[in-house]
Amino acid sequence: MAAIVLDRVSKTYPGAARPSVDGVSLDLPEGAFVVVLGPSGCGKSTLLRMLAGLETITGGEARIAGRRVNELEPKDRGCAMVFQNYALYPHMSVAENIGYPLKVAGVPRAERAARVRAVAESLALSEHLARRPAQLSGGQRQRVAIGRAMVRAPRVFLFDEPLSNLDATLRVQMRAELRRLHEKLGATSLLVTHDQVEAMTLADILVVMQAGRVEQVGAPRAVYDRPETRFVAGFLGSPPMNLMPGRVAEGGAAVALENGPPVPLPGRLPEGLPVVLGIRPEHVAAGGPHTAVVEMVEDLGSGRVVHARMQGVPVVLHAPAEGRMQRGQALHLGLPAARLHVFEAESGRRREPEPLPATQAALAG
Amino acid sequence: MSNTRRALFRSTWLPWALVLPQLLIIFVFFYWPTGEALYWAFTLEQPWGGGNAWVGWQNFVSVFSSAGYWHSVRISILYAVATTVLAIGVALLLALFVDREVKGSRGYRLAAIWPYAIAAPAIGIVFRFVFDPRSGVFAFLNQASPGMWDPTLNGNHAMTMLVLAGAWQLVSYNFVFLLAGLQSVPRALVEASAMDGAGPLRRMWDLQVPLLAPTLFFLAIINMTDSFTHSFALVDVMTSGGPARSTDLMVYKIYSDGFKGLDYSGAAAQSIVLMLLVVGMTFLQFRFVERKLHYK
Repeated sequence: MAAIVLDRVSKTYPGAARPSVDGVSLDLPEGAFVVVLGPSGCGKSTLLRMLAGLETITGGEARIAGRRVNELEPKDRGCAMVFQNYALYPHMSVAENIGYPLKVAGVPRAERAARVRAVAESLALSEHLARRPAQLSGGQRQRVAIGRAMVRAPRVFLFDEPLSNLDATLRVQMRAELRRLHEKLGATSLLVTHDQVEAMTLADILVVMQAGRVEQVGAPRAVYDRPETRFVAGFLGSPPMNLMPGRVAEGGAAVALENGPPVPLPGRLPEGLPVVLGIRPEHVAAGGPHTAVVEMVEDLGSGRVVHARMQGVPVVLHAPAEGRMQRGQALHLGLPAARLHVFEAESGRRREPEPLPATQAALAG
Repeated sequence: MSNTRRALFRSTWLPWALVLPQLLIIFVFFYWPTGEALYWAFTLEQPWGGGNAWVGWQNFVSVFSSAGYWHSVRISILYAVATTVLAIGVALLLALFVDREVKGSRGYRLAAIWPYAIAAPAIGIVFRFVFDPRSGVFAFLNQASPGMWDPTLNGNHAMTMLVLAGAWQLVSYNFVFLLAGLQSVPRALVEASAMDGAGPLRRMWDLQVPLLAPTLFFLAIINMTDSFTHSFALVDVMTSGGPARSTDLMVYKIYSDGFKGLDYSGAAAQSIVLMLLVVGMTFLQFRFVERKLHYK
């Protein structure tokens, strides 16, 4: 168990104009399950690999359990890693694969065998110990990779997109398994993924990255409910948040979209400020001053996702599974003020409307 | 099989005309001499030409009952094994270093294969100078204690010299294969073993070398075959089979018995034996390299 501290950690590859990881600072408590989420190429894997010691850190400092690890060999950092494509040793049996870290560490044969058996037991691999990786299914290989990471009882678990090679059913299963393992082992886990469902379900702490920088850090729920930047708002959520450009109008009390009636804000913003208005599909209300035309309906079974065009702007909303909803149908929609997110158009940062003075609030209400 | 990749010729003579030059070359330079050697091996050829007599297996019987021939077989095997082990060992070491330090440097790889392109007699001459007991690199040994290094007098020294020169040339060839093999070991595997706590040496031994097994086996066969057949030029230039027949390798013995001793029939019988040996080893390679040692 160990806390991980990253202090302005950067990685610039030789000859690259821009750093791949650009001054990332994170303070991750001991025993947390941290998920780093971001689109491909955002530097999340590089960050993980720097922590593991597979890439050199070109700027800043990484500390594990209070110790600077920049210069340490991977084996001295107390991390174990699970790779995306499992990276199992093809010429070794499952037992040899799992036992390899112990063999390298010079653990006596008898103890090694016992520990391998225990790990295999907990991962339901006992029957496959004599097989080669090539004779296993994807899920089994993944479990072997996890077993190999577990067997050394590391302080830190690093997962590099561990579930992305599995099929959908298996992924859900392994996700639960990972979470269960994390609770059982109590080590600090750091998982990198581009799958937001994985991120939302696994994380204690969610780190959203883009273009080498950390966009937001927080509990998944908090990040979802209150995205700090337009990028996070548009990245997290499926389907993603509706984002509509506009300008603050009506003395700062509302946002004028390109067309249609102005959208009242829950507070006040400077008049004329160019903003991007965000609202999640599940918060778009049926019935309201806005008119929209249905363009496409996706039936998910439990509900429907409706793609509509609201005064020329594309809008996605959730609709119940029952009732009439078809292409070309006209809708009336409302954008409840309490559910709105406002981002500055220029910087992309969240802008919280200033609360109205009590009297005005009473009048407005 | 797919028909799409098969080229279609309307006439029947054109494809034959296209293959003919190649067939001719193979026939004139390979099958004809081989056939001739086979014929000679069962006849008694006169040294100055002019007729021969069919003698059946007699040439083989006399070859196999000669102590000198078995000596030659023994030292040929010794030479082949020593050269192969040395050449593969050194090449593996170099390839591991290059794989670790200068990943993907094509220029270096190109430069490293050059020795293979040097004609063996040239190598022989260079190494004769290098190993010369009076003026070569090791001449200082003789100053310390006369006779400590003299490949012209000491058979073991002569053999060592041959092995070194032979291995030197094969190293470059092996290096290219081993480096390619190493670079096809998935990076993630090497990284995984680094995470598992294995240092560079441990990684080589536990991971890279076992994964290279198919390449190593292939090279072992190729090097052995090469040592049996291509050692002629080295022996001819450096030792002429001496001192006291201590480097009289099979391939050189064929030449010296045939063209110096004028025993064409005995030499032909020896070539057939050598040929069968090489064919056997090639068969081994195809049989086992293709089947086993693959982990996929």
